[in-house]
Amino acid sequence: MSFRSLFFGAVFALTAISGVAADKLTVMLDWFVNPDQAPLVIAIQKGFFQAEHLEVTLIEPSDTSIAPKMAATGKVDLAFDSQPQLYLRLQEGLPLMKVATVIDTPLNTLLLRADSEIKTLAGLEGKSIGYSVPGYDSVILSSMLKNAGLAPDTVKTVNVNWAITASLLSRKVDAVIGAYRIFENIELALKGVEPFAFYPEEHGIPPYDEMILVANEKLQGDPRLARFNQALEAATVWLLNHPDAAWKAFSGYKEGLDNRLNRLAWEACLPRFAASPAAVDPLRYRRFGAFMVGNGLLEKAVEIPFYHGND
Amino acid sequence: MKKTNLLLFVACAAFSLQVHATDKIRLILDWFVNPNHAQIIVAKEKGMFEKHDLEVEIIEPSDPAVPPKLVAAGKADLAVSYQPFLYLNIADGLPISRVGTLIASPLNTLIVRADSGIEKIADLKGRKIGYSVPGMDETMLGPILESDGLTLNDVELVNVNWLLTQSLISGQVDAVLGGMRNFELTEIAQKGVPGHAFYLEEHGIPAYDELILVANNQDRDTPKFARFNAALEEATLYILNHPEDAWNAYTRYKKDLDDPLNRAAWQDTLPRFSLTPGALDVARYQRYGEFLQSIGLIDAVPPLHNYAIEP
Repeated sequence: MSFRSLFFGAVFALTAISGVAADKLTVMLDWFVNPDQAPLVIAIQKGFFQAEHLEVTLIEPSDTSIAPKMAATGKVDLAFDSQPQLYLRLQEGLPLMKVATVIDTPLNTLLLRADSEIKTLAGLEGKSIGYSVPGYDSVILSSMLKNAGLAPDTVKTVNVNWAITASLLSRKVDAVIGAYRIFENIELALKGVEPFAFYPEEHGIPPYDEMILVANEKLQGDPRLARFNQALEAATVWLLNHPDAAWKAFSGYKEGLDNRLNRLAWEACLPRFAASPAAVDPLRYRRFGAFMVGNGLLEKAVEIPFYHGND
Repeated sequence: MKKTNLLLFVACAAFSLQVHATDKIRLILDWFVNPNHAQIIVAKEKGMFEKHDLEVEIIEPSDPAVPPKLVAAGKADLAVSYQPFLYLNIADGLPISRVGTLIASPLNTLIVRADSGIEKIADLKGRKIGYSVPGMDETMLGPILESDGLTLNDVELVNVNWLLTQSLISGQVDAVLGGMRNFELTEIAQKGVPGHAFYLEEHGIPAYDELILVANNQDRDTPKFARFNAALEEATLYILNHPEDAWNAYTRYKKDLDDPLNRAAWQDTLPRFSLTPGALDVARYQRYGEFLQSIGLIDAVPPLHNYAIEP
C-alpha cells in the first residue's frame, strides 16, 4: 500500500466512524401505512435504505391530498402521488417531478355488489353511483359510461366522501368509483358481500401508474434519489423472492398492521409492484396526458419531468 | 345479417384496409412456449394484437441462442432474449436493440437440493456446480462465490448442458446455475426433490430484466413496436384482473400447456410480468453493463441508446 492510499484509507475510516454516513430523506405517504406502500416499509425493515447510506422516515399524512404539496414546498423530500393527479398539480404550477413507481397499474375501479342485477356498464342506466373526488372521479366515470354508449346524465351521482364500502353495504348507491381493487373489494368480501368490479383500463381509460413517488424539481440529479431508487428496487425484488418473510417484516413495522384485511390486500398487491421502479415509459405518460386533455381534465398537454441520475 | 349491416361491414372493411394497414410481426421466442410468454399468448388469444392492427406470428426456436441472430439477419422482427445476453450480442456486432421488457426482474438462480446441507454460498466449498452456457455462466459464478468469500478454485464446474433438474436429482452435481425460480425450482419439487434457490441479485449480481424484446436497429424506431408494447400492456392487465380467464386463454393456445408444472409456474410468474413493457431504467442498464465489464465479459460498455430504447 502506497503512502497515498494509506492516507485515503485513514480519512475514509475516520469519516465512517464519525458517522457521516446516512443521508436523511423524508417520505410522506398518501394514507396511513398499508400494503400498497410495502416496498418502502420493507426497505426500512430489511436495511435496504441503510445499505445505500440513507436514513428514510415515512410520514403518514393528515389529509390524502397533502403529500405532493409538502414535497413542492420542500417540507418533505418525497411524496406519494398518482400519475393522473401529477398532471393536475403540474398544471397548478407545483414544481414536481416523477422519481419512481411503486405500483405501475391502475388500482381504481367502479365497484359493485355481485348480487346486484348490473352485469354491464350499460346496465347502470338510471342507477346511482358514489364518488369521492369531485372532478376527476366524474370524468373517469363519464368516460367509462361513454365507452359503453351511455350519456353521463343517465346516472345519478352521489358524493359518498370515501365511505365506499359502507355505501355499498347499505345499498345507498348501486356502484362506487374510486374503489381500489386491492382494498375495498376485499373489505366488502370480508363483510360477506361478494364484490364485482369494472376496470377503467378495460373501458376506454388508458393504463397508468397508480402509485408513484414525486419530489421537488430542485432535486433533479441529486444522487441521494438514485440511491433511494436502488434501495427501492432491491426491496421490491426481495419482497417478490421472499413473500412470507416480507409479510412478517411488513406487518411488524407498527402495531395494527397484522390483520386479515391487510394480509389479503398484501396478496393482491404483490403482482402489481414495479420490479424496476426507476423505469420510465414516456409514451405511456404522453398517452394518459392526451386522454386528460381530450376529456377536459387538463387545459393543455403537460410535460411530466422525470428524475434522472447522473447519466 | 341484415343487408344494411352487411353493407356497413363491407364499407368498414374497405375503410380499415385503406387506413389501418395491419403490420405483420414475426416474433421468435427464446424457448418453447411457457408461462414467461403469457403476455404474448394472451395478447394473441384475446385480440389485443388485433386491436392494435398487428398480425403476430409466434415461432418457437430450436436453440435459445439463435433468436437474436435471426433478428440481426432480418429473418424475424422481434426476438425474446435476456438482458445479460444483449451486451454479448452487441459486443459480437449484432445490430439489435432492446425495445421492450417482458419480465422486469431476474429469474435466474443457483439451485441446490434442500437436503444438500448447503445453506449459504460459502457451503459450496468443495462441491460440484453444473452450468450450461460456457464462458458466461462460469464468469458469472465468480462474483456469486466471492460474495461469501469463495473463489472459482474452491468449486468444481461441470457442464450439464441444460439438464438442470436431472443432474441435481441424480446427484451428478450439488448445485446448478441457470434454473429459473418460477420453473426449475418447481420442477424438481414436483419430482420429489425439494430445492433451495439462491437468487443471483441477492448474491453479488445487480438486478436486471430477465426477458426482453429485441429488434433490428434498422427498424427499431417504427411505430409497430410501440403498438406491440401497448398490446402487451393490456394483455398483462387482463391477466392480473382476470387470472382464471387468462389461464384458459393461455392453455387453449396449444396442446399440453395445461399440466401441474405449467399451472404452478403460471402462479409464480404472475407477480413478475412487466406491467409497463416499454419502460426503460437507463441506470439499471448502465449498471449491468458496467458489472459485465468489471468481470471481463465485455471490453467496454456501449452508449445506452445504441442498444436500448423506449419505442
